[in-house]
Amino acid sequence: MTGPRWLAPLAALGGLLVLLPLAGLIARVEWTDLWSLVTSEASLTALGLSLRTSVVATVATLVLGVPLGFVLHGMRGPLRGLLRAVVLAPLVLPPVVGGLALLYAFGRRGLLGEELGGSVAFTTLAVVIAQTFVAMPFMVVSVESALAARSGRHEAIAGTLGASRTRVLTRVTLPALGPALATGAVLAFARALGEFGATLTFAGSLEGVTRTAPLEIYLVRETDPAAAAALSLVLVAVAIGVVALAYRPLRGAA
Amino acid sequence: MTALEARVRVPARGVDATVEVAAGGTLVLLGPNGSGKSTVLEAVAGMVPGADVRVTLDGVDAPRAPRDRRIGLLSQDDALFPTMSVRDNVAFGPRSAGASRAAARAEADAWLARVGLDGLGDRRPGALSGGQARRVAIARALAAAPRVLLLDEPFAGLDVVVASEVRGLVAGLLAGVTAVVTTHDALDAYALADTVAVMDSGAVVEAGEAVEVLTRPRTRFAARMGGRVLVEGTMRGGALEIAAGVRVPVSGGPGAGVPAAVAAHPGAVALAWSEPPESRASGSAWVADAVRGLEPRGDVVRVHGALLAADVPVEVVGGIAAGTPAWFGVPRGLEAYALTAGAPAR
Repeated sequence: MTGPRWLAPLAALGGLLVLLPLAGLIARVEWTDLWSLVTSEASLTALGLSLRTSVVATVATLVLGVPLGFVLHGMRGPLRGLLRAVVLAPLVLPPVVGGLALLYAFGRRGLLGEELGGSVAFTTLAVVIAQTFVAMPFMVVSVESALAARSGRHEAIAGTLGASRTRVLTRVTLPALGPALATGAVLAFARALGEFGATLTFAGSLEGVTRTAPLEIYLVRETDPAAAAALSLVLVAVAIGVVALAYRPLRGAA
Repeated sequence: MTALEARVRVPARGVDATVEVAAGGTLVLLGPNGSGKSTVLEAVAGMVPGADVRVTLDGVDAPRAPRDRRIGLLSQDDALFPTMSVRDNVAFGPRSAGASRAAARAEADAWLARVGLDGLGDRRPGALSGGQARRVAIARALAAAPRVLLLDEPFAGLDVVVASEVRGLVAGLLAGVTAVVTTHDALDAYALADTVAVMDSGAVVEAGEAVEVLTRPRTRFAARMGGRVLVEGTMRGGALEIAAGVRVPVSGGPGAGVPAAVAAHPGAVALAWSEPPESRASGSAWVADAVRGLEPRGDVVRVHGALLAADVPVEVVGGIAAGTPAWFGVPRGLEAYALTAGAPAR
């Protein structure tokens, strides 16, 4: 569908709003030193930590977010709307607030502080928890809307063919959800990779332990702007690359 | 082989029907679109939430969970799993029953050969023609070794040649399998049925041996589904009295005064607009009626009156409107049968 013509200048403005900052960033990059800046020890440590924690967090959103999507899809009535709002809250919550909330739950003096044998705060695990916390809604929304678009017919037929519920899930439903899972995973990974506020609040900024690439960028942005720009460029490239490769727009209502 | 008996009530869809099939037999559920046939099948398979269904297999209540019920359903949309190869689709039942991957695949290939799709196992369902997809769905349903197989309009949506081929295939494969087949086509009933149940508006209006229901229908609806027109009346001597003074000579039939009927082919019923031809000469008994509706049926038009119907060439009905008086000529000497419930049919 093509909209009226007056949409075009607005669309151009919107595009510029995204493009200009990227252009500004790229203009700041010192291309001759790019390689040495990106491969400096601090940069590599931060990047490596970011990639590792983001991958683990993405797996966690799959393991936890997919079941949540199923449960939401299976619920009826006002309770469903309420639970959905709660589960999706990290999408709209300021990340700092999320980090504080995590601290009050899993920190030393938090709800589960003692049960967890001290504190998980300020560890690499805390980074993963913070990333999973903010990224999981993407997976839940993706799975729930994909399930809503299914008629359930294939599942019913699979039942008449003698398949158990687990078999129906693993052989019929999940393969059919493939594109939605990929979309959810890509969005979750990109969100985890960019996580800053909740990580800083809940996990701190210990080099090699919790200092992910965004934190490193923030740390060196004044002392070493060239390094910050180089590292930023890497994050931008990874984010755009991943989204371009695997993201397909969600179908159906969220 | 398993005998099936099912009582299906789905108030939301206005369905309340009972179906019975003898072990190894084929019941054809004959009815127009929207008569509730598919709902009955899906409910028996355990796929309709909120349905009040009682299914007994060999007189024992069937388990509630579809996977334990082992009643297979061949649905109109085939519902092949798009993410699996054709072979894995067919192997799905055996694998679910615990067969090893290799055994299930060998069985799937054997079934694919049986339905004439040798060598197509590696294809994806999306790369199949309509007829091939239907064959895969048939193979998948049978490979699961169901106690009862339900086939929902198995030849719908296929072109004439392919439908004939698949009909022949199904007729062969259903030998010895307890099956229920829904259709709106009398041809399927003649080709497959041991018994026939005619459905109208969610209820079974007539059921019995296939030949009996198809050639000696007791309701006008069943007659129409079987491709006939029911001429009802009362026996008076060797004739069927349709209305006061209107008699059609018949052969056989019950004694005088008993309600009876003949089931004529609409193609054999003659039609005249003005005065009927001389009865004796034309070989038909003429009944005055009026046109109620015109039903296009390919190269003929079925002219429906209040009592009778006749198939005539299209050009005959040009400019004819409802209410036009018409004479229907019923062939003399059709076999009459009693309409009294429980009475012998001759």
